[in-house]
Amino acid sequence: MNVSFHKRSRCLSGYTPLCMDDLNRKLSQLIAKACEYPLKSMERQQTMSEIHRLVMKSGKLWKDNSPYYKDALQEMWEYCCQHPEEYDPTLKRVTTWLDDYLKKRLRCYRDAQKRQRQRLLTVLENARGQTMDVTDMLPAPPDIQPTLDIWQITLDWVRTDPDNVLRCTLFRKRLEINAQTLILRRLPPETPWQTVAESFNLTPAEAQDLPKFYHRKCLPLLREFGLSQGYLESLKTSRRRKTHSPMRRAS
Amino acid sequence: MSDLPLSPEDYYIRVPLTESAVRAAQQFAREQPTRPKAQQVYINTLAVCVVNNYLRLLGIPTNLTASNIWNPSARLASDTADLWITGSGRLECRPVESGAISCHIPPEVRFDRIGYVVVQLEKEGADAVLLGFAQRAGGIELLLHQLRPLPELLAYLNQCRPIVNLSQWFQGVFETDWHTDETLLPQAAPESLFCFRDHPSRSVRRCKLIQLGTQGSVVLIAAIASETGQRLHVMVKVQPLPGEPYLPPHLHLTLLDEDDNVLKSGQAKNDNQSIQFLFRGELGDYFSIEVALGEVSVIENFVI
Repeated sequence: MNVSFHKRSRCLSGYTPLCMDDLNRKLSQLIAKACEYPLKSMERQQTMSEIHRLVMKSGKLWKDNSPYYKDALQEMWEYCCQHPEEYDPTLKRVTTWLDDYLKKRLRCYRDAQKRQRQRLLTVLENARGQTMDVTDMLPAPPDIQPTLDIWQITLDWVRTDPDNVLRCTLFRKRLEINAQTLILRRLPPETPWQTVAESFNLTPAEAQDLPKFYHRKCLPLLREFGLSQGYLESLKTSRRRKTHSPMRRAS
Repeated sequence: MSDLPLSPEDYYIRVPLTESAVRAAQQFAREQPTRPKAQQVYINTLAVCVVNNYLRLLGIPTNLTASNIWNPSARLASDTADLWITGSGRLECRPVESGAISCHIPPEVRFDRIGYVVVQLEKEGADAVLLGFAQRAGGIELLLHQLRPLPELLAYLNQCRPIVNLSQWFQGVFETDWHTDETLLPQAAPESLFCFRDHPSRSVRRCKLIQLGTQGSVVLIAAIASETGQRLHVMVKVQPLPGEPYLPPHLHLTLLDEDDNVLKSGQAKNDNQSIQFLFRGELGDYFSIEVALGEVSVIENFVI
């Protein structure tokens, strides 16, 4: 059990010390209010966001040091904010309801990790006919070497401009200020906008317009190129059932 | 507890900084060729993930893959921390360090944003804190004490006029409320659906119900067809609901550029079946369409 659970909470308004029961009474009222609003309504979202704000501020939730704790916390909030009807005030306090779901998510992560180790152990036993210390086989720390292929590929494409699309995208019909020259200046190590404007002798009005042109005309071309390279990442911020699955490239 | 006035800090929102967010930020940072750029991409990605996590738990749909920061080439060449809010537009999520009094807004992200959320990132392992938001970037720096409290963001996003991204229609990405003809115009004769005589192969078309208060509804149709290079054909048309022969008399259709200058306008007489505008635009051009009848006016914003 979390020790801090029984302590008096820090004051929320700056003056009035709030005991746990005051907080829970307030939260319970908010949940009842949220349930009265239609699903997906803004009023319901606002009420749930108030519950989230008060609880996160109070620091009264279960805590542990597991590496997946924050992900489990996020998943708990995603679930509980969408399902306030599942809270039964006759059974438990709101913070206990949230804690219970959080611990459930933490157990899922822990079990998945255990299963992963068990699988590894079985594989090793089968392969070598003997057991060995599985801690030797835990994933290595993430690769800290830079992976510069995306930079290189993008740079090559901008320099060669095979379809001539970058060179034909002109700022105020000036041939020398085009998507290619601008992107090359903004790729790292990037030239400050002020210096770019000076190098083309732009008037203050033109200098102000240049980043807008860049955003609206040049970045969409880069975005399209990035997409065509199939480098778009997928982020599994939630509902991950497996622990520590590496980021995958969807190609 | 609600009797006492709350200070700005009371409206700060703590959001867990998840492992998956940190991993994404590390990966994006590793792709950068210089140290300062890697640091910039690292904190920008964290800020976007934090806001994304917060909006997700409230059930507000977002699209990371439509964001510049999620695109490997776009994040290389711009100081961006944008998050695409489905149906609303780009929300910029700028990171600041603990104790900062202002937040820098780079020139290339000072427009085409529906707002700016400021995210305070603390030491490793700590929660991130959403400090507040601003509707516009204003100058080079956003002063943190002038931010609007974060709880107002939901209402703000809700009333935000969404921007319809037409070129994304080619990729099959459609804004909510924009339907196929079969949904809104089931009885339409095939010839009335025909809009781009010369570009039958690559064109997309959708329609939306426009409610004019107590004066009924009309159907707004938008279609886009590609030409060579970046130039695109756009068609915008307003017509009556199925079963109604004519547009309401005096209905106005107006095409405006991004500075609200009128480019074209038309008014329905007693027996007009539709008003239609055909024009060309380039990728990234902004325009608005206003449908007005009497006191009621509905504006739709588009980007090509």
